[in-house]
Amino acid sequence: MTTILLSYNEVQSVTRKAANGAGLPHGVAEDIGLAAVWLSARGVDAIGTVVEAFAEGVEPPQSIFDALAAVDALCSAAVNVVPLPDRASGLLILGLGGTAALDMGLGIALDRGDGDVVPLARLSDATGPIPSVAVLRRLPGEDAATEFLGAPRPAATDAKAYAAALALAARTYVPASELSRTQGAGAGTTDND
Amino acid sequence: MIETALDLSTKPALALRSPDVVMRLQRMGASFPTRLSFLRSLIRRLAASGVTVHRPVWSMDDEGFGDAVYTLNLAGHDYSLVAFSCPLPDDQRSDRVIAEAWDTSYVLYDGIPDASEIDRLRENAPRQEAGRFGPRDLVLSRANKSVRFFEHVADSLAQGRQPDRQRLGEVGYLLRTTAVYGNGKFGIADRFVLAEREGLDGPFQAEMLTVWLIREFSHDLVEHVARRRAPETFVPLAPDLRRHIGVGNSTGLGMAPFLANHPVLLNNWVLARETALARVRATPHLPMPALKRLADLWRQAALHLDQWSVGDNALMPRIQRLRGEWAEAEGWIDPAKLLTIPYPVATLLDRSQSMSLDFQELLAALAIELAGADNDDLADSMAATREGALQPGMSLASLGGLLRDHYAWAMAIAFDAPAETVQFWYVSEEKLEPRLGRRTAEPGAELESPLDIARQVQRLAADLGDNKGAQTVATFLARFPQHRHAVRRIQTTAAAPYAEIRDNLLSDRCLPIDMLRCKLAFFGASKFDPRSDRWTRITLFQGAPTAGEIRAGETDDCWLPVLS
Repeated sequence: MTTILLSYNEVQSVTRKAANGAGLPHGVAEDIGLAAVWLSARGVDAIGTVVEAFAEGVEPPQSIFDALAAVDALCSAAVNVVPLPDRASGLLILGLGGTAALDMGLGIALDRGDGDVVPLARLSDATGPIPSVAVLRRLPGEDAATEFLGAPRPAATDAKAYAAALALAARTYVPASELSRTQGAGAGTTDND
Repeated sequence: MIETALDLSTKPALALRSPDVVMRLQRMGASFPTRLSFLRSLIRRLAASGVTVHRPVWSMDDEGFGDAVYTLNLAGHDYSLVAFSCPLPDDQRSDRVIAEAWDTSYVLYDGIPDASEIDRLRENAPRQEAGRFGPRDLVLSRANKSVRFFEHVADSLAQGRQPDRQRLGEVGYLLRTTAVYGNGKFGIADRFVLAEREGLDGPFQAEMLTVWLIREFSHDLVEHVARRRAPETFVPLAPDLRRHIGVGNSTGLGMAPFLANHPVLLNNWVLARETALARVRATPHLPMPALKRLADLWRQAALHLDQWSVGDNALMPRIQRLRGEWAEAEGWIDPAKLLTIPYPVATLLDRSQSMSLDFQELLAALAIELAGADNDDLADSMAATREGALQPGMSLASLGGLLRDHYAWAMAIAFDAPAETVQFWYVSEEKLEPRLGRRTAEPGAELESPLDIARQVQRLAADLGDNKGAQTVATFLARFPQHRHAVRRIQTTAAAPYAEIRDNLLSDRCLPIDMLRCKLAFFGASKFDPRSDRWTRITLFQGAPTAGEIRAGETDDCWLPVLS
């Protein structure tokens, strides 16, 4: 597998634009970008995860709406647990939950169902398997200061997934026209003064 | 010193200007740099740290093509500007992002690069967006020569004379940057690497350091070319002229959406400036030393205005009017009158409401300058580690209240009028850069970027009104996920009053140049020189201390440069 090394800003912007390209609203795409950063700081090829989560054959992907709604419900204390379904969606929910915990200082934990309950604020590696019984769970107490902010650089990205994300992102770009070239930027083309 | 002349301690709550006044495009487009501008912050840091700039590499041919490295240590960290100068045919010299080659290119490097790192950067920096960079590369930039002025200066120095002062004052720079990339672009280091690092924390400090060092490089480059051209007759730049040569910058639409896309950051910038202004406004009395300083700054501003001429048909009449108003109002600062008036700065600011927006904003910037270092603490609050977070547990009643309290400006826009949606923002496939199009004349409106904040808020308000079931934001967004962006912004604005540009960015009245000027003024730019309503040239660091002078701190010309 060929991989490429990106910055966090690149991971965030590519996944956000890919989400837009997959037909998701901008506010949802923003959260996808933040979740990707959270995951890639914990060893996960987040771009690959996002591309896989989008590949359900329906646009916009309903699973993303469901994931966000579930995490919102958890954060607003409407529910106490959120199941983690298949791996791609499960990782995405983990990333969305991790970002929400970071932003709101909420106590949210990954409960693997085997007695291993890890607060997301301390989770430094999200690359392991996610058992089918795993859930995200609200922890008692209001605040949980994040103790692990992430690796200095994101996990490597599969080049094919990166290309797929760029292709999704490209759906949001407007092809150049003569008018856009001459007026869109509002400047001339030479600066020899 | 003015720093001890003002008593800025105030008991009552500070009276900040309303966001409804401050965050309008037209007023933002009248912004001037202040003491809180980012290049000013950097100069103070460099001076306080007593930095010494070294030039361990200078490998240039007679024509000024080759490599250079400048290094300095700031708060215990070494940083290097790695500079490359290459021949460039005239037909390839463009300031636009569509360019593929430049006269010079740069990387601000984390540490001191060895030969292999310089080789790596030489392979990539001249290619800019087409190159690939790594975590030790902090900032990527490029600059083109101001061709005729560079040649004039090189020729003058080679012939043993200084360049023409008037021409130097009119142009003001030898090199003009056309992009200064930070925060992870093309693989360079992410912003958070520097956010916690003493010395380069704060907005755009690494970018400003890069530009300050590019300025040093530009001075050395022109002297090198002149010296090689005629070593027997060569003279170096006179110190005052060297100080008055800044760095140009050419900025287009790419910068405009930044303000809308970073609402918390924008709030923090404006809040710091407005707090500084409110503190000065609350000053009960101005003693005589402060009044003398006020008069000096007034004259400096007048001289600056006299030396600021542009070809733009929209801005030049404004500058001319401002010159007239400034001269007309000089009687306002008569020390004999101001000594006896309580709250003299507030009186001046109130009186300025009868003048143009340009006058009002120049006076506000002057008032902040008058207070000297007393407001410098506010510079520490201008960064933002995160943009606003969604609060899914908020009740819909609370959300509706925030919408009513903070978005009346948005609800008042009549989007059924064609003029209110005549423009649309989009990202160009060609260079992945923001563009602005006419909805009825250009394709792509279905792909428009979400800068239609006011329209989004209206659509949210309509669905909030129709909603009969949901009690919280979480349940509402489960049904209406398309409103997530607007909801987050509204929740953000509750704690960040200056987060929103309170105008319709789709309207026929929206001029991107207003956003550009606002952002560039926060950078510390002066001599705004618009080439259209979406493209401007500016000057940075003109009048600021050079590397040889930095230990002495800010010069009197740091606010608004003048060549006397």
